[in-house]
Amino acid sequence: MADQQHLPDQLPAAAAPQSRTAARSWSARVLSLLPFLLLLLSAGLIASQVRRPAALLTTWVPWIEIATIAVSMTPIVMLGGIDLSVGSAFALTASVFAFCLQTGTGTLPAIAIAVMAGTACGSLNGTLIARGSPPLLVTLASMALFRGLTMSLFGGERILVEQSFQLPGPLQLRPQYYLLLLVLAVLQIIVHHRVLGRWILATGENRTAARIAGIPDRRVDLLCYATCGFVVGLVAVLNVMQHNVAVPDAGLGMELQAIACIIVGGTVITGGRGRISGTLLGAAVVSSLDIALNFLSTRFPVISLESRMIVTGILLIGIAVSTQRTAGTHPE
Amino acid sequence: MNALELHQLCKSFAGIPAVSDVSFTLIQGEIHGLVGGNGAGKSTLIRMISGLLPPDCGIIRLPGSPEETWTAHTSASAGILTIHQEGEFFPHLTVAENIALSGTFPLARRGLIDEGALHENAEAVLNHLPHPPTPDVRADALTNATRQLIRLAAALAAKPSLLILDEPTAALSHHETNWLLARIRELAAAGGTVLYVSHRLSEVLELCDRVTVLRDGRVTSTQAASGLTAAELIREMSAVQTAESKTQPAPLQSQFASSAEESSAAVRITWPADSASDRQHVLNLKRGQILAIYGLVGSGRSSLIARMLHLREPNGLQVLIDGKPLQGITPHQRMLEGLSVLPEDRLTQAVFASHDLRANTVISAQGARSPMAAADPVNEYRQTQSVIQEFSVRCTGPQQPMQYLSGGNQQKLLLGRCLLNHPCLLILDEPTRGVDAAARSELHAAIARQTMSGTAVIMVTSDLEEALSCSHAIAVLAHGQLAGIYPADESRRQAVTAAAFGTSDQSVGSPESSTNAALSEPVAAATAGPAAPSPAPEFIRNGTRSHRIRDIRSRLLAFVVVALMLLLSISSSGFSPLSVIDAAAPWCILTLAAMVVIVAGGIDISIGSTLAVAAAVAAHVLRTPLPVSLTIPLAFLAALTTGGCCGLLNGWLHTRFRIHSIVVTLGTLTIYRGIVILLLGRNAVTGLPQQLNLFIQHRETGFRTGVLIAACVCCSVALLLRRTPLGRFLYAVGSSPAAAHQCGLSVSSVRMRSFMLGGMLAGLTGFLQLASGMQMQGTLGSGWELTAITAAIIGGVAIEGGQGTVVGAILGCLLLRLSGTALIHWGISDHHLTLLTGTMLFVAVLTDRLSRQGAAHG
Repeated sequence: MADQQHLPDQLPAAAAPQSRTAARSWSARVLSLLPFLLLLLSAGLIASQVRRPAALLTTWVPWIEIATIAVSMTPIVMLGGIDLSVGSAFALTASVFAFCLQTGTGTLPAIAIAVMAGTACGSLNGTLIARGSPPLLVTLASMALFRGLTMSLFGGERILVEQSFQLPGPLQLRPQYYLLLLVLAVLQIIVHHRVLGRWILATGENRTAARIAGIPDRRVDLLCYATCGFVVGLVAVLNVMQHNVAVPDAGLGMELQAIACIIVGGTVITGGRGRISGTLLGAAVVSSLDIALNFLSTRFPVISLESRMIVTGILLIGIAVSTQRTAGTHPE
Repeated sequence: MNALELHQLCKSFAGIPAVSDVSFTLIQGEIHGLVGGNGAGKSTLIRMISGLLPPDCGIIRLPGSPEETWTAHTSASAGILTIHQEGEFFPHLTVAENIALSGTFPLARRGLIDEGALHENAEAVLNHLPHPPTPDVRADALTNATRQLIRLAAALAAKPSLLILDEPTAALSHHETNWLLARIRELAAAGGTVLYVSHRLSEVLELCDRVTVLRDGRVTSTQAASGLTAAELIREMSAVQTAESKTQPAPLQSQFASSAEESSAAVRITWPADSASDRQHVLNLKRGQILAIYGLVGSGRSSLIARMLHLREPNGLQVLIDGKPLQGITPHQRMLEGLSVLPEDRLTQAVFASHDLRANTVISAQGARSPMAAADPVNEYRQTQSVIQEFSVRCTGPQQPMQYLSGGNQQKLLLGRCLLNHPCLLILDEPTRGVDAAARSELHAAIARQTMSGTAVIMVTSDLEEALSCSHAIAVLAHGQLAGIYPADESRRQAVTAAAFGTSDQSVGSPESSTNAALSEPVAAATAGPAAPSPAPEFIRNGTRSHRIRDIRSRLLAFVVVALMLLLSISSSGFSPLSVIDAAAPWCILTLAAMVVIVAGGIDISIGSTLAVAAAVAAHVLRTPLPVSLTIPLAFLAALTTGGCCGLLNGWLHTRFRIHSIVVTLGTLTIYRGIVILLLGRNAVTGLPQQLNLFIQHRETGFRTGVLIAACVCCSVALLLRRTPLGRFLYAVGSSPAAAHQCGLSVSSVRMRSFMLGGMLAGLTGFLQLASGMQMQGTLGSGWELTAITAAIIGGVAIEGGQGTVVGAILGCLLLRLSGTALIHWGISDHHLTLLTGTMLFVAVLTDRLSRQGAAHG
């Protein structure tokens, strides 16, 4: 990322007259409430439109998968990195899993192989990034590589799975929901209540300083990317178990949706600041808005696909204005 | 005659006044000293004079000119030039370009840069330096001190009417300082005015005509320098009577004597044998001792720590702590072994600016814990409180963000961070650089206290006073080698200085191992005089390996493209290179669109949508019932304008709201795509006029207009980037935004222009796509942004900005297209194309790594 800008020495950051600072903090406060307001609004819309609430839970499953991946990518963004390859890694692990099942590997070994493949994808990114290559460059490359492997190895065909899986689902919730809760809980504890989380945030804020202060930044890098790959593998396995098919162009654009959730959730893209739970909020806002507008568009043709896209884009930028700008770190 | 008048200037940050009610005048031709403690408001005042900060109240004006708002522009047009304390450089630009950026580019005809004059101007500046580097060397190959010298030389050569120097000698040696002072006097004698800001009071008193003292943001006095003494200045600066700062030697020496007996050597440093003498030098440092490492600029002082810590090739230098070698292990392991380092460059190497004091203080202590251990906020808070109290850090509490502290207070806190680990070896690199006198003595006292608890300290310093007053022994470096080890004792001042200059002969320089037996074992006086030809003077830091790798890469790329084309022409009859070029033409333009933004340090992932919006608008224009001769040019213009506007919106959002460009363009990506569908409806637009085809290929003559247009665009973009000031500005901003800001470049406006240019190029691509497809679909261009960025990266554009050429980007684009064609011609399934692209990108990642390693080690 080229935006690593230096602070002017010894100068307080908020280099603005007091009245302007006050106005800005006021507007920032209103903007920081925006996600909650939007969430309420769209939840209200959905509640008023939906006829079978149980069906809603199924509607939400693709978003739950994205939310899980977004949560597991949040530590990477806190490190000042980014992972563009999650969508491709998702497709690759899903195909590997389906292929294993098709060729008669048992379910548990197939799961193990697929999750290992996901972890390997993440570790490849992590290894290269830990050795100093820019994350954007590495994951752009691995995004093409994993997608290319999926296409080349499995011939660009859908891989059907004969077995049907009766996934355990108390409360009629799909297992994706439980996976999200599990990943969220584990990462919330690790990032906000464990030393590792302090390491992650410090490395994201100033990598050189963290290294000199004795933080094993390379190990942190590798760990974060590998964890993300591991979770992507789990999500892909559950996806194939649900749909009984692996599609080679699965997860296209997933990385950008996940990044959007993280940004709306308030994690700063240049690293150093953010919250795991924020990403869940971000995913909730983005998904409920999308679903609410979808409901509305069936009722009112005016609200069509294009307006949904425009609203989502404006939402993203609007929330970024309140959370992403780093006061005073921009030389101007 | 007055050169500049300041009237009752005020400035406060978040309610805390930094400068209040400051008034003084600068007289033309004088050298005016400005002194004051850290946090006295010197830097703020300077930034206001150079127009970087608007004052809250008060007036800055030139005599006789009307009152007007004082901006960076008025300041620059009045001939005011500022050299900031921690100057920035553009690492990816050449020395000549760096020099030109701090002034102006020499222009030849039609606004193009005159390369010859650029080179000559640089040589004219560099010739004044003691060791002039060539103007064509890239700035990232230079050491900090050389960069600072070049910056000063360029400023002096520009003959400003007012030159402001903020701590110009902080990084310079005695010799270089004398050179600088002489040059400043020359400038003043020629009628220039100089505002000289420094902590080095002896320099100020020696150089300046008048001195203004600042304390807590207010002027305490402005008086003639002659007759003043340093003690008087210190008294005014600190309000309380401070004794001479040289208070340390006595207690330390006694401490040294006692500790020498009770513990054995804790640290053993072995210098390799050098060309001057065949013996290697061994230095034993016991617990509780302080070793100062003193040397001039270029003596290897700055690289010694890097060598010790194995951050750079140690060249035989070996450090043993308690018998265990220090080298080859990571910083993390070193910390666990009981080593703490306080790095030289506070801002980039030590501070977590936006984190609070608590996080900044406990970070090292946390590094020593297991990653899965529970973080304990209460304990962290308590530790921070104790550090704040022990070092009397001026702050509002552990919750205050680090960036609000002044440099001296930050430094105290950072020392506290190092000590929290109870290190057995503490390495301090310039611990009091840019720190005021009061804080300096507090830091020295804290270091001395720490030695009581049995820590060995290695302190690298460029300040002889500090070395003499605050250590047990001084190792002197000269020309990259150890020139001798001396007991720290006022009587050795001459000998140390002489050794540092490399002029010591045996009689002066021979350090008696008898008086210093505890410290240095069989230390031989390494007379690193002029007889020892230093293998590499330190002003060139690394070789040209990274340049060579880039060079090889671009040649290899060109070779592969040509070879692939030949191979295809031979192996497959249906292949014509022209058809590939035809298909690649719009892609080349799109790749350039991605490239111009990346070069300026941004990234635009909305160019695919921008392209579609531009094409949709053009399609609408084309379908208006006007004569074709009118609609086609109009549509062309509309596409360009729409693209430009989309880019401008991206750039505005990015710079106005300070949002990362990837976030902005991720948002506008969906917005623009929504607008496309809004404009088109669900169906493809067809029925475009046939004459549009002229933009691709002339029907009768078969002349390929599309290729011609693409070629023209590529040439003009290449010319723009290579030979116009704007193009150089794009590279400069991408290379280092902070340096660009210091040079008075508006980072925002340059970035904005890069986005606009990218948008216009994307719009042009959209129009060409419209012309070649003769229809317009809502999905046109979706996902193309990643392909374009991929092509640019394969072509050698660095994703962090500042590097990349048009030729490289075009070659990358051609390679991508050619490989797709090759797969089809050789009957390989196009499933493998993505894999091939991924592989090529990985090759780009690997060469990028190689060139980075080249830059790091060289």
